[in-house]
Amino acid sequence: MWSFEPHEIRLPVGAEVDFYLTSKDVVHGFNIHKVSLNMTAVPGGINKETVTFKEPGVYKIVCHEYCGSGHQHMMGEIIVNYPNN
Amino acid sequence: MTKIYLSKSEKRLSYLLLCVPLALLTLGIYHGLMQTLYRSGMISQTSFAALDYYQGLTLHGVINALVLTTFFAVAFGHICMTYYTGVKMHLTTAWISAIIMTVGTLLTAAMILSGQASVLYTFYAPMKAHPLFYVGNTLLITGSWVAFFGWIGMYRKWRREHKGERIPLAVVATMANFIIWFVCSIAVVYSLVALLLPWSMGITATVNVPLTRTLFWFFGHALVYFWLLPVYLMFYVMLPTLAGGKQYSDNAGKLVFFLFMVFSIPVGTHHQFSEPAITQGVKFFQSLLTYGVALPSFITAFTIAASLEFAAWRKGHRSKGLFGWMTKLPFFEKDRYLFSYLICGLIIFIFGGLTGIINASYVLNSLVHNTAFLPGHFHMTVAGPVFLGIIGMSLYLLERLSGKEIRLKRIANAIPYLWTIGMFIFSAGLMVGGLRGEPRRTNMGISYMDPDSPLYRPDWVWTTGTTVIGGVILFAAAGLFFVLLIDLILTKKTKESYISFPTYRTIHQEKVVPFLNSFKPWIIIMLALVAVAYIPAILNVFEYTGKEAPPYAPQNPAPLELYQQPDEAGDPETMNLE
Repeated sequence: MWSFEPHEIRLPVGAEVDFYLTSKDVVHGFNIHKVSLNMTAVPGGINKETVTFKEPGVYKIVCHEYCGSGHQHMMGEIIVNYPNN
Repeated sequence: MTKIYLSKSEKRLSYLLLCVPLALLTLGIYHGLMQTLYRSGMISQTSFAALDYYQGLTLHGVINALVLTTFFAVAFGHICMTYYTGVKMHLTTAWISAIIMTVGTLLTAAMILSGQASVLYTFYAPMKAHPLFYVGNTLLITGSWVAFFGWIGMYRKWRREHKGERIPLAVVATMANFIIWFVCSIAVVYSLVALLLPWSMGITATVNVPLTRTLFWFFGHALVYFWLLPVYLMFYVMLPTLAGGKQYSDNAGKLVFFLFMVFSIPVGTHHQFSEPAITQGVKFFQSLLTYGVALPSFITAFTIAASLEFAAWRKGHRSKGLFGWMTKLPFFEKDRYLFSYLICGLIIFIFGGLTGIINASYVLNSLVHNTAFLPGHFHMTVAGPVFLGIIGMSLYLLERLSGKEIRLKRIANAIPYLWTIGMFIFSAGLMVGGLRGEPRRTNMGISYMDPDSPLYRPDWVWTTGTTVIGGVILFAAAGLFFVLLIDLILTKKTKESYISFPTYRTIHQEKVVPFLNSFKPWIIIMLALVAVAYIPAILNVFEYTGKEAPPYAPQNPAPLELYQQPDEAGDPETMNLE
């Protein structure tokens, strides 16, 4: 329940990505603050947003909706600079 | 200053409605401070003193935002309806309502305190609480309806006896608020009773999650106006006189309360910008309407400022500067302490309102949605004017109901200023943190604020630290308020017991405008706009929802198996056996 799948995504710089988001259990948040990608994962619905990662770096994914006792431990990241690193 | 004398039963009712939430508020305030400690990492544990972080957060939200506000709105409504119409309080409905609300509140509190309802005050499915949590919330809401039904009778009686007269502004404010409340809470009561309760009891297997969320936010945004309007009543009807002046325009005040009726409800999906199942078109339309609901608050800013400036001129202010008149207001008159609660609330609300407009914008919302910016914003509304208005007026009413006088008036006068300083520090910490991506509703002490955790975020250390400083000041201010209450209980009765409010006067003698002297046209516009905004939203939800969800407990990653297939007589397997 308290993980992102996949929890790590590697992308080349400048990649334009379509994110499709849902939840298999309870409601979760999905926030990549650096690119203002802000979605709610709701069971029964599918969310879609498109984002371009212009800068290389590590983009942390934060779950920002309470999803139970493990909420604060949800971890995920997007590593941009692949495969040039 | 008109005085009214309440009967014994009316007084008992008022004590009950004012004191139940104030007693529970001790818990709500305690966990307000605790959250800042958890979030800053000063407490790096899942629970402290037998109270889990999320359990405490649920308490904080339910008690402060639902129980305190609803009880106060009903208590204050009873007194305002009686005082301003001169019609006797409808005691039967009033008592039935008070008892239902109290039972509901005790059930809800018991479920949260026993750890069976750590689902926060928004109770988002498919996280499941104990069925009695849903029952308790339903009783709290429907109980308040019963009080309103009594007021409808009182209003009708007044209307029959005062044909063609202008409705007192306080009556418009109270009735408009409860019309909003009644209409918006039908949705959440339906969700609680028809969807969540049977699902939490295992009678139904699954629930439509986007539907429950949409029904919640149909209610959830109007809820914030339900909190606010009793305090707006004080701003319009009492604050100008307390400042030493008169209200600028009675008709402007009425227009404001009627506009709130029209715009409060059809704006709820701006809380759902970031989620699926509702299309962009619906979100965009409701985003526009959200700007509409800012309109009555802008009118209020001008009307109240004009009333206060008028008061300053009457008190001998003569300079030409734009803001010089503000220095003439009675900020530190201890016998008029209610003024300080209202003016501080108004000052905080300038920032609460402006940050609200940020949230309403689709694009800016994607920067701040569900970050700490949000609690930063709404603490400057519900914990600003709303909270200060409620505690200031509760103190004012308790003094008069009991015939006692508070002894520590200087402290009573100082509390709102201390609270305002604390609130600005606290909210600044939250909002800057939110702009750096800090999540709301998160026990950050055991992950993001723990230097040993892979999730550690050093850039959030000073923002969460700032909220602790604000939190401590707020806690101290609230602590002083409880000292005042205890002192009030201990002092002796010195006066007779009666209710009186500052006399309401207006600067301009205005004509009675028919459409500002009747609820009917506004109810029709309100319902029409709600239908236009929400029918497409609900159709969206049914069209775009896939699988429904089974219930989950907050501690358990696997779904709960509550639902049992009913044994059907026509089951093919059974038939084969025969």
